[in-house]
Amino acid sequence: MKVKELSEKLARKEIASVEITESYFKKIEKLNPKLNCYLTLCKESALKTAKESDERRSKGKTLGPLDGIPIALKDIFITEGVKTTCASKILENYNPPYEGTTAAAFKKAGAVLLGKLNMDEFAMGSSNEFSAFGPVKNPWNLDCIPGGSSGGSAAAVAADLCVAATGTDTGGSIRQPAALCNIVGLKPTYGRVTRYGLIAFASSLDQAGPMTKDVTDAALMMNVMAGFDPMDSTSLNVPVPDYTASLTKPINGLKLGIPKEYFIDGIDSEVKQAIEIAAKKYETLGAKVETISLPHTKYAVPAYYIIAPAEASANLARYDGVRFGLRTPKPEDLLDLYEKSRTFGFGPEVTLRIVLGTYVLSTGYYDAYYLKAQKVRTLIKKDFLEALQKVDAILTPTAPTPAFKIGEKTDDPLKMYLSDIFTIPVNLAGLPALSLPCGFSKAGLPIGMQLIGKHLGEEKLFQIGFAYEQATEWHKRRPAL
Amino acid sequence: MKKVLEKMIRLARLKLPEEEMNRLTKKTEHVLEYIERLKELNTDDIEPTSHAIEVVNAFREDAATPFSNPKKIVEIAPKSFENLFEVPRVIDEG
Amino acid sequence: MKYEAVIGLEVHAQLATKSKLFCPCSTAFGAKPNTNICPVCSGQAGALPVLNKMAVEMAVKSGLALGCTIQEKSIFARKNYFYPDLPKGYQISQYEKPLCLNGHLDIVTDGKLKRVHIQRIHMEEDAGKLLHETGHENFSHVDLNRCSTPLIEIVSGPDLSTPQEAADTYRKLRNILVYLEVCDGNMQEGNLRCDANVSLRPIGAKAFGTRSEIKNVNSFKFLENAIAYEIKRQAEILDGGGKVVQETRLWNQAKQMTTSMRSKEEAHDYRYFPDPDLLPLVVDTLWIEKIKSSLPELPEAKAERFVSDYGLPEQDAQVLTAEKPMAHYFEECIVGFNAPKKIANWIMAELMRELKSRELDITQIKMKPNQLAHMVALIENGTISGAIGKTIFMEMLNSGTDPDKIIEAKGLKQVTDTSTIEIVIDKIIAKETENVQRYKSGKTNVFGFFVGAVMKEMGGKANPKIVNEILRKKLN
Repeated sequence: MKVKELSEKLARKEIASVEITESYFKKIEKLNPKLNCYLTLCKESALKTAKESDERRSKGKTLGPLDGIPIALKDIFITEGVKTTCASKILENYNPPYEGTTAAAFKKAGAVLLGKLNMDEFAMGSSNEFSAFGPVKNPWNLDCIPGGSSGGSAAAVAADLCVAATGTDTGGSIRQPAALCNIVGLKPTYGRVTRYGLIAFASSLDQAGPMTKDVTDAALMMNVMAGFDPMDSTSLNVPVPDYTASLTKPINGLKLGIPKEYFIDGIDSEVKQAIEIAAKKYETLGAKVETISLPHTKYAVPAYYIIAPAEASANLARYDGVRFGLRTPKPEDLLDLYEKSRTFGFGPEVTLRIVLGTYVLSTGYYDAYYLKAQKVRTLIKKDFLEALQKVDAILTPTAPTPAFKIGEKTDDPLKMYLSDIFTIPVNLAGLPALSLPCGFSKAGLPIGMQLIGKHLGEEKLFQIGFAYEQATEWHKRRPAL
Repeated sequence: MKKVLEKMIRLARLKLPEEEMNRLTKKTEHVLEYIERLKELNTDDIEPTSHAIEVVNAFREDAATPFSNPKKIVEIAPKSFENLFEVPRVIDEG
Repeated sequence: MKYEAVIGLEVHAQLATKSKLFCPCSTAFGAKPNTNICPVCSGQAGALPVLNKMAVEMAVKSGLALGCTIQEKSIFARKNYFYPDLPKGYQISQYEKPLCLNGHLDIVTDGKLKRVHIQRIHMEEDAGKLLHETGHENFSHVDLNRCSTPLIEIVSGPDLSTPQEAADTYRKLRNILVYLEVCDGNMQEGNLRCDANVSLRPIGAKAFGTRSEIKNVNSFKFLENAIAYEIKRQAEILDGGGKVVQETRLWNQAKQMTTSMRSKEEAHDYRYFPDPDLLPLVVDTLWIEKIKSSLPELPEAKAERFVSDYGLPEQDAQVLTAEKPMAHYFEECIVGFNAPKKIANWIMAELMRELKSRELDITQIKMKPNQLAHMVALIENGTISGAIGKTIFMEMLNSGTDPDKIIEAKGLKQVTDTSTIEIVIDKIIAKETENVQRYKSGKTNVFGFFVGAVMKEMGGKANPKIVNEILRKKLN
């Protein structure tokens, strides 16, 4: 079920929110043991919210398109009264004393929160194998990873264990799992969606966004999520359009650029082919497609693996066993409290990134690594801004390969990191990017394409994505479970 | 490298057994080797970017508004005493 | 060997904002532990800082008052270290790009003017409080009420060479901050704190010696004592052929000595980097001008005005304007009775002496400026004598009662009735025949004895002028 579809059914009183919410829980009970999408279920509060929604509706006082719609949040979104773990042992029992802005926005919109979704611990990973609470399986092939870090969100949406979900994207964590699970995912412009109540991984890159079954739903979710938040200094104080308004605008005459640097080393031939076919499709829809250049592309991943771990090493210092979260039971002294709580609380990938981040910031290395990476970031941003003066959006594959097998890359961090090679540059530049389904491999695994837009150009991305979606059938395919 | 990383581990208040330390060192070396490719680029005259979007000055006005539930902040602490957070005794540094 | 000391100060001043630097929690002192806390200042997952605009304005004010260049763009960085009073595991502080640079402060020590360089002023958040005296041997406890209150750190150049200069600098800095109303200057509550960097070098040498940093000096006197001790300690080490260790030392007032802080020998590495949660702070010329126009009159300007408007001697003006509340008290008195020099004398002699001996602040006394002014007026118009004035003054200081009421209650009104005075004088002359002889034989210095005797007899209430006149007439 999609947001728009269900919203219409609710409006026509063909179904009640309580009824659909119950049916989702039934489905979750059946399929979650296979997929491991959900870390926490909120059955009781969900049914209560659903009932309230139905009551509002019967009085003709609905709150909008999301009223009564069962959704789920990645477990990185702070929810008051619902534990928020970030898929980490260190926050296994964290019961936040406040409500995050996004959770509050969905509540205000009347949405029904089914539960909290699995992810890579602290959003560090591209396969969802680094969750402290077990990996998520790809609904298209249970031996495969769903992508990460928002793997639980992608799998839950693909398997219809919620109508829509939220994710966060620091280097591709919304788009890559969306591509690998055949759903739509948007990483908005940095600052478009608040970070207040989003557990920080890398603050200058983190951005929350919707993960949905089609572009229309993504637009509807963005109508709730986007907007200025005075609690987040980096939030943009710019009016929010109705994202559904531009969907049906024609795209003829629009220019799409395909960066030549994205079709070299390591890209899967089926992925390459799918993008070429998608480009042709766009031409038949009246868009112009041209080759462009983003010369510093190959420096994006190395720069990212300096900046993101550096910020993370500081962001994760607050998990020290003193004020909340895991605390070793019998510390000998303060140092022991810190070391044991943190060592036991963090998984190996998080530990690796903390160490990397500590290293690149430490005396004697700062200039060579951190400062250098920030300068490279400037160059990467410049590449994009120049290219986007010539084209309306940039078309690329979302990920270099379809979903890989569980366990295939866990021992080699670099191999894992390179699965975000096409998404990482976008975060460094702070641009919005939309991933949407554009094909399947011979093995039956989804392939996604990425549309990168100008700063605050979400509407245009939705417009371009919607046109493609209307002309293709990929997004309608559902996994057989 | 391992020596340097041991210092980083201490700075980050982590502590790894020998075997894990070796594994971590190998992985870190691997990643750092890859990161080295940044050195190919001349960035002498380039300004660093620390924020994705160029905006400045986000302020709040100076008004004191108490948080609705400070008590809960202490309640969720793993150890507390008379509304104070508790830690093993610290030898005073000041 | 002869050494000269090289001293620099780092002063932390808590800005007098209503709310904290990055969250809306109150900065009020003395609240119950952990009641002024929120998700932001307690470092909850997912919480974010937003900068207090007033704190910026106060920091800019301080910079302007100290002649600094306000930097158009400054950056908040994260200073990373673990400590229980630091919830986020980093302190947000300006590092590479502080708000204010290159100012100065003029001090006068032993009549010599010295210009002290102010290297920088930066903004930062305070840490929480770590408590050890909660009755548990094995635990310390953390109160986060103070955590994230706004501070400015003022760093002086290594320009000071004596403990007295250091104390004068600190005192002057405090006065300016209090004048600006950006800091209440309360050292007991820790709203103003000072660290001193002290090193020695042979007289005439250019290179700096190894310095130690003295913390925990929370009064001007302690600062002087601590630096004096440290100079002596370092000189002894150097004379003995030893080397001064670069370290942080604590001043122990009870033992009158500095002691090394037992910090673990792992060198700190704060790994500063720009805080991605906060935007660059840009203070443009327009804003600076606006703040500049709101600056109050500072001590130096006020002293000049006291000289020109009230005709006070330079020295008096300096003393009266050193602290804002005192200058304000003085001016309030002038409103009550326009006799600046007379009032200045009372304040500088009687009032300041009493304040010092009672360890009180001008803001803590009961006597109101108009009461003091009225009393001086009563002396001037002859209602009371100067001596009675002193009695009344003490009474006003103790109880805050109006001078008229004191005079009435105690019957202190000056006696100007010549016949009453004459009766007393006659009585004394009749009694002191010996002294009368002496006077008549030319030993006129006994005249004072007669005045004293009359005044004593009359409880000090007689008008001295009239006493003098009648006595002289009778004795001659």
